[in-house]
Amino acid sequence: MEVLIPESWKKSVCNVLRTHDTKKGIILRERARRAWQDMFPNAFLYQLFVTLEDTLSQPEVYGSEKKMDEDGIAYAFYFTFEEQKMYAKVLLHPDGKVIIIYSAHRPQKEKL
Amino acid sequence: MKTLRERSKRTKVEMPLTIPTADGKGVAETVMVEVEALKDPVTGDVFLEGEALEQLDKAKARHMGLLLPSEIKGLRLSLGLTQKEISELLKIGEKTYSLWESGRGRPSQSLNQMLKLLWNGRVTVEDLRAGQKAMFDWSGVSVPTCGLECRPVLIQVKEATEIYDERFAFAA
Repeated sequence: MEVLIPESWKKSVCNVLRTHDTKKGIILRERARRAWQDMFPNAFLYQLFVTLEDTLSQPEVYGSEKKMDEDGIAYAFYFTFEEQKMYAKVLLHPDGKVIIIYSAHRPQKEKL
Repeated sequence: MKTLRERSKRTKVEMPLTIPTADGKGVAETVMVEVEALKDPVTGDVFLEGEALEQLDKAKARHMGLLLPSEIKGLRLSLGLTQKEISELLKIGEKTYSLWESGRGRPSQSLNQMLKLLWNGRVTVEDLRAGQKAMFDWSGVSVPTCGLECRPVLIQVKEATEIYDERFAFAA
């Protein structure tokens, strides 16, 4: 079910993504990296982080909460890169300093 | 519950990295880059963090002949310039430059080339500043109205052209 992603979650995730030049708090699943580079061979990983940050900086972002085998809160949401609609699944650790990007690929289902 | 970092085993893994074709739409080659990764013992999934992500972007940038946003910023800071100053030297808008540092824009091929020359020390800030100055100071030139007085002006114009040619040849 799509819900408005809470501001506090978005803000914390953006704070971690903003460190994209050092990437201290970002963990990226290898499958997500491969999907990203297969989709956009010309793009860098930092562009994924910047795009996610820009998406979550919007005032109203809808997403779907996901249950993961990891402590923290995860949301799936859509974002756009080079005019392509993409799907992302991101988990924010309870400490608010680490995120895990599980997915960054083309939407494979009709709903989030 | 242990976090992913706590329960995972750190291991060296060779990651395939795609290098795009010149038009950016296809894959020119795939190179293998060894990085440290986290392997989740529960799911078997592999995760990359901090340094590994940086390493992969750097490897790609080197193959593509580009500088990363962090490197562009590092270059500016090492030159002791503000964003405004470097934008003026490169003859671009400050906003455009700030997009490069934030990763929201990339320099054109020619400007990327210029940044690389600065990066390698083959062009200095002084070179760029010198390039901004007028090639020839026309303020001292008077426009003659008759025959013989034309000669000094022609000589000066000729000199100016030679100076320009020399600089052009250097830049090329």
